[in-house]
Amino acid sequence: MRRETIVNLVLAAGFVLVPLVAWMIDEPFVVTLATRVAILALAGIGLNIALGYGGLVSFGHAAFFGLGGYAMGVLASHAQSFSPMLTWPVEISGTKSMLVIWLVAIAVSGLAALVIGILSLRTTGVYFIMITLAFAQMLYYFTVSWPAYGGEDGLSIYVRNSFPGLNTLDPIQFFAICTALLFIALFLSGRLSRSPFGLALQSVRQNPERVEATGIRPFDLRLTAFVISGMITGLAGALFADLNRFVSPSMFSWHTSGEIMVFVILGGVGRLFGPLAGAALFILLEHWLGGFTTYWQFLLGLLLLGVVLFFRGGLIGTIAGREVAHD
Amino acid sequence: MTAILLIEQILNGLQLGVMLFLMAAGLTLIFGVMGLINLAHGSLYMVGAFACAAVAAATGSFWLGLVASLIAAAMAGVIVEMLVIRRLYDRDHLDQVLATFALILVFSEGTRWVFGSFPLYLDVPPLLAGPVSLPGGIEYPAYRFAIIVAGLLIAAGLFLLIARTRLGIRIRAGENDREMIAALGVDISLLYTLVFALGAALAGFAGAMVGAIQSVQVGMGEPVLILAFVVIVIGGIGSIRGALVGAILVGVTDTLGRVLLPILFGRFMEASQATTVGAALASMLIYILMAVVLLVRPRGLFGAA
Amino acid sequence: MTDTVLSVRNISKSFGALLASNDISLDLMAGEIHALIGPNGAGKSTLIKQIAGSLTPDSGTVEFLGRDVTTLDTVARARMGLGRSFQVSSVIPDFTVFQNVALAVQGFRRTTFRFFRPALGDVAIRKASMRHIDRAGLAGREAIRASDLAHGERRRLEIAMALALEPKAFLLDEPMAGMGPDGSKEMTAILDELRREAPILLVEHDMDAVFALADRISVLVYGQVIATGTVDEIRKSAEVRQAYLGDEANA
Repeated sequence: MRRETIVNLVLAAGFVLVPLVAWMIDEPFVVTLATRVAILALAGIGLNIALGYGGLVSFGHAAFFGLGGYAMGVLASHAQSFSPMLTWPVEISGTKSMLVIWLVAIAVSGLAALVIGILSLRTTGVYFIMITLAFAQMLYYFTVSWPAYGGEDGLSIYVRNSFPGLNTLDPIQFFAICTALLFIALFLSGRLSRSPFGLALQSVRQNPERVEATGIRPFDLRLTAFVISGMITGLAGALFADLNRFVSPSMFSWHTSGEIMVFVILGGVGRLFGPLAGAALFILLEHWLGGFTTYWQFLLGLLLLGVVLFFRGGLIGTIAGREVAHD
Repeated sequence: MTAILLIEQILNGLQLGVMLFLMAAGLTLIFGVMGLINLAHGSLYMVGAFACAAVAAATGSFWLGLVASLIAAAMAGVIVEMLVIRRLYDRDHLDQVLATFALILVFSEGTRWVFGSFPLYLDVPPLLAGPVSLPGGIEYPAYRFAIIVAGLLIAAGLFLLIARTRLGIRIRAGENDREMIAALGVDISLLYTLVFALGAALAGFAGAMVGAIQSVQVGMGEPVLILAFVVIVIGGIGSIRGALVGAILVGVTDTLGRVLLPILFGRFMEASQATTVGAALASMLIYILMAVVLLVRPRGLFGAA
Repeated sequence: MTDTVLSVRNISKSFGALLASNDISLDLMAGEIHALIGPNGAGKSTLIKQIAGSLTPDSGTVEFLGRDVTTLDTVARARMGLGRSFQVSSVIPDFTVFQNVALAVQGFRRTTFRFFRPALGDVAIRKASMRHIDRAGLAGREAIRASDLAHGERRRLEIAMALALEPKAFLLDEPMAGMGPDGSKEMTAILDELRREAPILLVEHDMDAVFALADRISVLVYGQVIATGTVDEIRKSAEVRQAYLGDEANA
C-alpha cells in the first residue's frame, strides 16, 4: 500500500478514536476540540479544491466561511425570536433545523462563489489574490456596519440547532455529525481529484496553455472548482457557528482566510488528508503551546516559516514523500 | 456641510493618501523589482511606530524618535530580507504569501512580548502642535499638514531617485528583466536588499508619523497593509506613479465617502438608517472601487499590460 | 485532392515598430506536409501563434476547414480540430504519459466535466490513449511521469497529445528541436505516417528532415514569405540561397 494511504488511514483512525476514548473517560473538552478540528478541516478541504488542485490562491475564502456562518445565524436567530424573515410577498420564517440550514449555507456560498469567481477569475496572480481578499473585506465591513444581526458584536444563538433523531447538545453526537460530513467531503474530494474534471483541473494548475490546446477552457474549469470549493467552506462555516453558537464578522476577516490557508499548507497542499492533518496540528499547537505562553502565535509563525521554506510538502508530504502519480 | 468642512475633509483624505503612498511605494517597488508579495510590510510600519514612540519617550524628542524609526525599520528590513525574504524570490506567490503571513505573526507576537498589549503614547511635537492658517480662512492642524508636505516631498524624491540616479536605473532595469541585469554585472543581492530596506524605511516612517495621531499598538499595520495593497492594485503593480495616484484616490474616496454617504442617504432615508447604510457602504467603498478598476483594467491604472 | 484545409491570407502583425508578419499568405492542402523554414527571427513563431489563435493578426484572415477563424481563440480552434505541438515542450510535468494523453482524449470527447468516475478507469479513454501513445512511439513508457521523460520522448508526447484531438490539421512547431540523429530519424518516420491522418504545417530547422518529409516548402525571411514551392524548386531557388546562406555566411 502506498505510504500516503497508510498515513491517511492512521490519521483517520486516530481522529475518530481519540475523541471516542475521551468521551468514554468523560473528557468532553477533548471531544469539543476534536469537533473544532473536524470543522476547520472541512473548511480546508473546500479551500484545497481551489488552491491545492486548481492552484487558485484565494485569500478571501473567509467570505464563504462567513456566509455559511451568517446563513445559520440569520435563520436561527429569526427562529429563536419567533420573528419571520420576510412577510412579503411570501412569509418566510427562520429555522433551527440543521439540514435546512446546511442547504441554505451551501446554496448561498455557492452563489457567492459563482459571482466572485466570475469577476475574479478574469485576473491572475497577485491581482487575483487581492480581488478575492477585497470581496471578503467587503462582506466583513458590511456585517460590521449592519446592526440588524449584531454588527461588530456578533450574534448569539442560544440553543444548538436540531438534527432529526439526535441530541445535538451532546458533544459526542455533534462530533459524530461533523465527522460524518468531514468524511463525506473527503470521499467526494478524493473522487473529484481522480475524475476527468480533477485531471483537467490539476493540469490547468501546471500548464494552462497545454490545456487550452486540448480544447478545454481554463476559465470554465477554474470557476467550477471555485464554486465547489466555496460551497464546502460555506458548510464548514455553518457548522462552526453552530459549534460556538455564535457568529460574528470576524468569520470574514482576512486572518480567518489566512488561517484556513495555514491549515492546508501545514498539512500539505493538494494532499487529500492535508487539511485534516493541518487543522489537527494547528489546534494541537494552539492548546499545547498556548498552555506555555500567550505568545504561542510567535512560535506558530516560526513553524509556518519553517514549513514553507524547508518542509514544502507539509506534514503529509514530509512523512509520505513525493506524490505517486495516479494510475 | 460647508465648503470649509469639505475642504478640511479633502485635506484629511490627502493626508491619508500620502501616508498610504509611503506604504504602497515600498510594496510596489518590492513587487516590481523582486516579484515578491510582502505581507509583512504592515509589520515594518509597526516597527517604525514603536521605535519612534520608545525613543521619543526615552529622550523626550519626537524628532529623534523619527530618525530612530527610519533606522529601526530599515534594519528590520535588512535582517528579514537576508534571513527569510531572499529565499522566497524564486518561489511562487502562495509560498510568499504564507511566509510573509508567518512573519506577521512573528512580528506581532514578538512586539507584544516586548512591549505588552497596551498602546504606547506618542505625542505630536510641540513645534507642530497648533493649527496652520490656510487661504480661505481654513484652520488645519499643522501636524497633519506637515504629513501631507512630507509625503509629497518624499514622492518627489522617489521620482528623482528612480528617474535620475544609477540606483534608479538599476531598479527600472531590474523591473524589466532580472536575469539580464545580473548578467550585466549588477550585484543583484545588494540591489534587492537595498530596495527592500528602502521600502521598509518608508513604511516605518509612515508608521511613526501616523503614530502621533492614532495609537501605537500591535496590529496597527494590518488595516494599512490591506489598504496599501488595494492602492497598488488600483494603481498598477510596479508603478510608483500608479501608487501615488492610487493612494490619493483611495485616501480621498475613503475619507469623503465616510463623511458624505450618510448625508447623501439622509436625503431620502430617515437619519439612523441613513447613518447605518452610509457607514456600511463607506467601508466597502474602496473595495468596490478596486473591483471596478480591475474589471475595466485588469492590470490597474498604470500597470504593465 | 485539392482541398485547402488551412488558409492564411495577407496576415500582418506589428509589435510597436517591429513588423513581425508582413502580408503573409500560404495554404495547407489535404494530404501534404508543408514545411515552413527560415532563419532565426524570421517570425515563424509569431505566424504559428496567429494560426493557432493565441495571437490576433492586425490584418488578414485565417481560414480553417472553410471557416473564417480569425477571431476565434485557441480553444475554439482546437475544438474544430487544429492539433498543435509547441516549440518548447509543453506537457503536464507531474502527470504520467498516460494521464497527459488521457487529458487530451477526454478534452476531445468533451467528457471533461465528469466528477465521480475515475478518469483513467474509462475503458474507451484507456484504449484511445494507448493507441495514440503507440503511434507516437511511446509504448511501454505510459507510466512514466512527464518530467522524468527524456527530451526526445517529451517531444513524442507532444505528438501523442496532438493526435488525441483526432485533428483535421497539425501545427507542429520544431518537433525535432534538441534531438540527436537517431531521435530525428524516428520522429521523421512518425511524421511521415502522420500525414495520412491530416495535413501538417511543419516549422523546422532540421533541413534533412524537411527535405525528406516536405511536399512543399515556404521560406519566411524578415516576416515575409519569399518563396513557396516543392523541395526541388526551393533547393534551386537563388533567392532562398541568398537569404539563408547569405545570412549564415554573415552570422
